[in-house]
Amino acid sequence: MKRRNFLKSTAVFVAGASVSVSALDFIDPKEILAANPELRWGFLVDTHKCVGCGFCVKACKIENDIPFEANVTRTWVERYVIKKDGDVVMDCPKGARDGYTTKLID
Amino acid sequence: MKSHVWRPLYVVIAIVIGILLFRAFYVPSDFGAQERGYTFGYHRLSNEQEWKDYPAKYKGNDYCNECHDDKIEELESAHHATIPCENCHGAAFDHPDNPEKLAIDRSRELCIRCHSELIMPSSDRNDIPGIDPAEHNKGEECSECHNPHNPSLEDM
Repeated sequence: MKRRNFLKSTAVFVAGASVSVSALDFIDPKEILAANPELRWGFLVDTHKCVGCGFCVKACKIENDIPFEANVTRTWVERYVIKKDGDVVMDCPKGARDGYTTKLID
Repeated sequence: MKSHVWRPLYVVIAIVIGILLFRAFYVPSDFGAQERGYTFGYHRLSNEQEWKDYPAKYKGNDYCNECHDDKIEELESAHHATIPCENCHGAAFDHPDNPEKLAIDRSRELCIRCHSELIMPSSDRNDIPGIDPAEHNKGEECSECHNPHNPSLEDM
């Protein structure tokens, strides 16, 4: 291959590649959400009805064939205690799998 | 350019065309952006029925009620009415065919999920009768005294 030919083909390739790359339109989830502002995902828990038994966590694991002992979770349940001095302590034993079985924050 | 340079390029072009063809035939037409925008989820309108037919392991109280209506009646007249059977009896799967018998969880740990007294103010959880598991008949199973379907000792 002659140097002239090589440079020519390289120039053509680079020009062609840059055009085709700019033609690709990557879809961004945020863009779609912005285009559909009425779309809202939510997960609601009535915190007064929830007693922190952790059965939702257990059932989710069983229903979806997730290893029970392995420490894997996609979501979790937390317990917050706001003390009188404004201190906030948070508790989530094993992703709440076994429920909140102690008054201690662990 | 010589053919040994072009040849692999043809192969690549053929692969790309092959993938595009496969995609055109194999990917369902309703996959991707919908008017509600669930592009990146698994939700497809045309396979909703497929998921409805997918067997769930937890069947719910109505399923239990088909045979064990006496137990449901007992449960629903007492304080534990709100608790689904399968919380303690385990997911039904295909009971009574498979498994024939469900393994009932009678463990103390199961009860104290709700009945361990929490001293901190919290949700309605504090209205549930609670005990200190370290003090209250330590080491014994709750079901030795309390009937899980009707746990109040006065009613026994």
